[in-house]
Amino acid sequence: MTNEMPKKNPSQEVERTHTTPSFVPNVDIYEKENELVVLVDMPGVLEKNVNIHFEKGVLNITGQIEPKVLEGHRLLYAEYKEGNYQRSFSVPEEIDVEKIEASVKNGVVNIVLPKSPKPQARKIPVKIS
Amino acid sequence: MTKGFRSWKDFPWRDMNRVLGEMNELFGDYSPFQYAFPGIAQTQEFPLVSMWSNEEHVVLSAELPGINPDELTINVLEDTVFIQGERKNPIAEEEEKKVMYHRQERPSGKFKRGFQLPFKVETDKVAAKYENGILIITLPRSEKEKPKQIKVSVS
Repeated sequence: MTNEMPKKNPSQEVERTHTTPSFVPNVDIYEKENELVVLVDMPGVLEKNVNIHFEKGVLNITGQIEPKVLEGHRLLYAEYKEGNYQRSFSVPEEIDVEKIEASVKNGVVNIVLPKSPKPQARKIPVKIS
Repeated sequence: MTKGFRSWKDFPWRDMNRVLGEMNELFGDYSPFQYAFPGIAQTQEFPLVSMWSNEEHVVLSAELPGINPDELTINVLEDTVFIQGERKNPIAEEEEKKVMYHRQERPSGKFKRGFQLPFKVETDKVAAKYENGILIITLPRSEKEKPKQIKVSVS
């Protein structure tokens, strides 16, 4: 989970073009005893427009905004620009992919990735005949 | 989080952009002065804001994902608006030892920012809403300051 997906290999994946700019959102990733938690800042994104996709060990998170137009207004000053969000992470093997859960609240995507129980080391008794 | 005070009307944006444009021409494609997006002010402040206006009011929007709106304070004094609050760390202090951070990019902590508007605000009529992590404040222009049309009387 710590490593971002390596630069895309053009032969494997084709970058999409967008009509709106795309941003890399800020994330927090922390590990608890039984799970990994990913928090993604996506201000302005509605729950229905968040897409979380898992394929070949890569978790891909995208968020589409619905651009707001203030009619009859003039932009005075801007520090941010509206755009979509996209980020990918490689997920370690011990994650139970089937049980990944996600929710969205106040523009923050919260993804919980539970760890699958580690296979217990088993001691095999040797019978002495 | 640092305090910020910004008066957009005093800042020579046009001159700044012209200088940057000249720098870019000098350095070509490798210019360190290249703006990622033209017209977007680069700042490390939190939250990031944008402002729009018409004859009646200024609309200020701030990117504030993951805030409890009850803990947000908005103060308006004459022509100045202050936004103040706290974005809490997702992990409570007593739990911090139990977790391991792999990444921590989301800013957290107390913040306060102030913005000066080009007019005095009708403080009673200020409206604010918080939706999907974006705060939108509508600041109406004070009635006293609205431009008045004066008829020329012919004697």
